[in-house]
Amino acid sequence: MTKTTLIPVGPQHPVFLEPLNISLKLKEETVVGAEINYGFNHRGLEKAMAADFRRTIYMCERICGICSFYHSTAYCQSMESLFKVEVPERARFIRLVMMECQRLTSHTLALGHTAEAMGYESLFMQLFREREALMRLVNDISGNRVHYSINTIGGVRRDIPMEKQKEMLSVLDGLETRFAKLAKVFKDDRTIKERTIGKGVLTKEMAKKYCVVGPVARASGIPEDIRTSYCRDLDFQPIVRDEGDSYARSMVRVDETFQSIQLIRKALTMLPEGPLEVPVKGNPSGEAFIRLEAPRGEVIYYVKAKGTVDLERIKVKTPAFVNVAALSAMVPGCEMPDIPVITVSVDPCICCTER
Amino acid sequence: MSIHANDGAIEKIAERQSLENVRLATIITVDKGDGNLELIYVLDVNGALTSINCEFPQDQELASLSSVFAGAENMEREIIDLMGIRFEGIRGGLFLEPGSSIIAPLRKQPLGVK
Amino acid sequence: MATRNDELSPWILHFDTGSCNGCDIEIWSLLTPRYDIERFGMINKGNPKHADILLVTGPVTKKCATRLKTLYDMMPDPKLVVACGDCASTGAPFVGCYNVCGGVDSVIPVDVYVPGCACRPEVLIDGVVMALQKWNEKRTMEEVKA
Repeated sequence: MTKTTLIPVGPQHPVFLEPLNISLKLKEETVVGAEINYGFNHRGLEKAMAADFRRTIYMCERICGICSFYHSTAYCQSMESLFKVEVPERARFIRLVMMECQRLTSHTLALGHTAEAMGYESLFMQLFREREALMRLVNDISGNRVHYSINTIGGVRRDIPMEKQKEMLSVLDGLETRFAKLAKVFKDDRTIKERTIGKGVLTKEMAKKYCVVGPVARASGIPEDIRTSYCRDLDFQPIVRDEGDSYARSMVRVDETFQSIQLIRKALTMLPEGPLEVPVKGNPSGEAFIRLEAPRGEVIYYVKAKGTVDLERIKVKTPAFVNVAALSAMVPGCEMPDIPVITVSVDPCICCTER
Repeated sequence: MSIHANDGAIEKIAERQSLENVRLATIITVDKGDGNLELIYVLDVNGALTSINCEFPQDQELASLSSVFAGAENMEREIIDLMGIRFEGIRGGLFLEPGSSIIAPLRKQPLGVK
Repeated sequence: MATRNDELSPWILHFDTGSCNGCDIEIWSLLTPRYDIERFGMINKGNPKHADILLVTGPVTKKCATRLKTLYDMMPDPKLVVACGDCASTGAPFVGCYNVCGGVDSVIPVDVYVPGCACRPEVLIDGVVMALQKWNEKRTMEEVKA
């Protein structure tokens, strides 16, 4: 009869960027259970965002710095549906291009983070070097590295002119060839395979029970991607794998980076001419549900307005909220040293989770 | 066996789940302001969003959906903290720090400090 | 042997007290090839007992306040705190939110404030280099006292 040991991981831990606490129950080296404690990052944004619908566009970008553009796009789309205005096609495509750029930065961050959690320092550094090219690209277009702030209710505030498009394409070409080399390391390297294959398995049944979304769901064999509906004209097919382990989750992200580069290229060739925004007047009223596919999965915005400046209720469903909870189904049976890699392979985003 | 205001909604969800490809997307609560709260279960049914609503007085205890979807537990814990609704067999304490945070901050009239 | 006139390499500790992750990923950019603060002798350490400079991001949430204080107390003297970004410096857009105490200086003393939302790596480098000078001054003063 072995004793059960409790080991706290976090809230301050070298592997996590953010404050997350996991209490691991161990029998010798094997994890038998895990309890995840949240709340270190809860700022109370849902209340603050309901105060003034014009300021919310600033606040909702500050929910998360990694997927800020998705939050502002989802919010603007829900406002546009309340105001019953149609966004110009050019603005819709610019949003799409910027969203895919942010997906690229997010996925390279997640992959680099996974490499770092494994102790594969050189791969982490190389991924981040490539990521820096992306950050400079989005900085050139939007003027900011993290919060792009180019969304406004009714459209976008910045154009992607012809010369920027050319620059963008040449940067992406370079990135694609260099990513291909790094992707090969991710696919074939023995260290990575041994640290990830068969570790932290989430079966399809469990994935459905825990309602997981995004790359975590797609790695467990659920072919769900909201982009299939709003990228219809771009011939989009979700990437799905069946294994459900940490390796599959990383591989889905690796393949999605190439897919995003393709989507940006297609969107840029199809970029229609026209205005960037339509004017919006008055106060919103009514109810709206909007969802988007963020790098980690589905983001849902529910907005209920009553014709005044303040909103009745704004609810943000973030993908990490359900994905992080599924960790407690992944870790039992794993060994203690694998916990950081499994946790990071889910791509936990605590600021999204807790808002 | 007590009767809860959301028993009907949960039954409907369980029934749909056994027949179709259903995922619980989120649970939304709205304070109506007249002493009633509204609970909206948002489901993804074959790739499209559907919602199931139910309304109830604010001091009533509700049944939990966690037996149907394990992922619902955290959503309910969040609601316990932020809206001050009780769910049978679920404890709160997900986001708020006892002793310093206010109770049910998303209500129209928050319930004071713990 | 290091004398008090030598500049030593401080180790840094990063703690997120409720930020939106924007400043955190910029801190990671700081550690990686393009900006690389290792050239100033700084490396990221996970253990507060090994750390000299604490980089804090984000407004301090109520649940994090006690943890931040504990981390600060665990660090050996002389120690320095750098508040990275607008939120850590003042609380910025989160002032008045029900679960936020305010900026980092409402919980622990701060030596260097780095502005920006999110703070750019270039400004962060300025911030940590300023912290490096302050740290060396503090260290010299402590040795004189001893």
